[in-house]
Amino acid sequence: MNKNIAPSSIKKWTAVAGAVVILLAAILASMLLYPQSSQGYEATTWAMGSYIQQTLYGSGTEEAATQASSAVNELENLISWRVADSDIEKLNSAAGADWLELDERTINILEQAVSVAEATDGAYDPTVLPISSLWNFDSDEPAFPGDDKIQEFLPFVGYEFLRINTEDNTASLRNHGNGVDLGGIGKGAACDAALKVYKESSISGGIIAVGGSIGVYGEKPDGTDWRISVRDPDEDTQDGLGVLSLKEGCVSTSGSYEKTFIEGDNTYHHLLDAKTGYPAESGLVSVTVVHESGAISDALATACFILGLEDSLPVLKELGASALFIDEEHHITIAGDLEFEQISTAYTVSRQSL
Amino acid sequence: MKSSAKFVAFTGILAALAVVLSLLENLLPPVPGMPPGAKLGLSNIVSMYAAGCVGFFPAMAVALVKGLFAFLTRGITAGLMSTAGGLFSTLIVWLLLKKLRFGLLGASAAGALAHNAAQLMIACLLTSSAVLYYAPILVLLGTASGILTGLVLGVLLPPLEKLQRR
Amino acid sequence: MNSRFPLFRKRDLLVFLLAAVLAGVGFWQWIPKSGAPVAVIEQDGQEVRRVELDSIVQPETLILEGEISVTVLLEPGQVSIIHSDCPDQICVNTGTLTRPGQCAVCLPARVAVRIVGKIESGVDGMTG
Repeated sequence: MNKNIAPSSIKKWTAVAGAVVILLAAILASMLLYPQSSQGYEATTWAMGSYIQQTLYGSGTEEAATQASSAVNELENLISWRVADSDIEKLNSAAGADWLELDERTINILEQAVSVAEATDGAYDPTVLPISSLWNFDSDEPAFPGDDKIQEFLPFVGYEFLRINTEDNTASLRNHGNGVDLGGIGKGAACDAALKVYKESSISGGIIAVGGSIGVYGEKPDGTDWRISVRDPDEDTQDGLGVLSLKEGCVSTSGSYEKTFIEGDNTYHHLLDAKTGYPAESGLVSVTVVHESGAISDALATACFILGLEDSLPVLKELGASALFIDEEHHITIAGDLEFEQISTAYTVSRQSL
Repeated sequence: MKSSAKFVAFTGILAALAVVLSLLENLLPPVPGMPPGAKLGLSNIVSMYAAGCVGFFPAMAVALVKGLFAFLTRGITAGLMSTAGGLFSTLIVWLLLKKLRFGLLGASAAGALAHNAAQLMIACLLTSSAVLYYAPILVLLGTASGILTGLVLGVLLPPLEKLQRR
Repeated sequence: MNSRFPLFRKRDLLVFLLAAVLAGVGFWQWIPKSGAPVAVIEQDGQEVRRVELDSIVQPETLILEGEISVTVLLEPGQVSIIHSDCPDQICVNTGTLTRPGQCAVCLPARVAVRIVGKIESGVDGMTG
């Protein structure tokens, strides 16, 4: 026997109403408790020897994040000299021999690297592999290679040995013993690759951090500028010493505190002056560069650290970049039009026009 | 009474129908904010009909076919999840509808909940317990879709049952 | 025109009651109050554990095994990497994480510990 509660049509409408109410509750709860649209879609991955974090807003965020990750992985397989069969590995192996046809992306990055090398007169030099591999900061036990070795390999470094033909996308290293190491520009280039994906996607805004290089695109839901804090080189604090506000573009930092090792009485850091073969000593602890191109901001950060404040200024002006210099005396110099909000009181700040 | 060849063919048709409905469901774009995998449950209409009007084993067969299809088109993870979800939910629906004499709405909602529960367990085993995060939302969505499935069946069953008697 | 299966029976309410209870319990237990800082621990790109910092009552260690093993310490209101087999120890030296946006990363082990949640200072990233 059926136990009916009410005539069937009322039951049906009650059921429909019930379903609608529950559905609305689910949507509301979903919006409140998984605030994906206002808090953004977060994705993390590992590539380019770094931890990569993305936060995207708008629609199609998961897709864009996945595509950006793939783009970065692809790039690593093209430009890392450590990856077997990468464009750069092949280029290095063919040094002193033929011109090689390379991927357009690789050529583009090599071009940008050379333009920074030219502007900085070789302070940043993509052909630094003969020296950088001697120091080998990424290994388990880096050690001082010795003055003799450095002098022996230094002559092989020189961006003039790298020839690039943009018409047919070929490049070549003139002599056997030359080598390209894009470690100083790779993270910035990765940001560029991701930003390209973002631009072509349906997201409304996004930020990617590849290690310390950051790229921003579009707008956050609340319309405010992107706020990037600058790491305080002082080991004891995890907070930033200040915040930069950006509408678009990329930020990269090179700091002597990043990769160092101690041998005897000396502390050696990884920012090698390509002209001397030794860690640069310019009185600076870190340089943060802002530029439209991630690759250029990354290469410039390294270059400016090596050049020092004075000599960096004309270069920044020429390439259309701005920068923030932190020196060994706890003083911050801001060169160019950068919106910076100071937080740490342990530093003094001054501005410098370009 | 159907002959056994007609019977098998009929089950086959049901299975195909279930597969087509699940295909259609997957074509819908994901709604932002909803956990990935949240579904309308259209193919559950077929499963419930099978469980209620055809028989336990045919209904299970339909669930297996759906799972196999998911495996073939979307990979082993999707296959495992669909099979687990389908088998468990068909079992629950059959139990509630035929043995425990629940109404269509209750059995259907329970079936949807069971489907989500089984899928969540598989996802948890395969990836990490982070997916349990979505459980409460899936409970609500499952209940809602279960109610809707039950309503559709409430409308479709009378004419279908008449057809079956012929 | 009636099916031999009724649309609704009183006992159906049991199912809806169960659903309501499950949803209620789920929401209280598993969903953090929005904005509460949550520590997220990832290994190899997969999320291993997600804990609301405020809900940690007593210190707990989490060992992430691998070629390079990493030990994470969860304490009330803070999380830190206290041990790693890696050569550079940058992750251990990062210290304790207490606020959203902070993270400690062990590259060789591909382990990342970070705190998510509403960032008070409203910072979107850190360079350097």
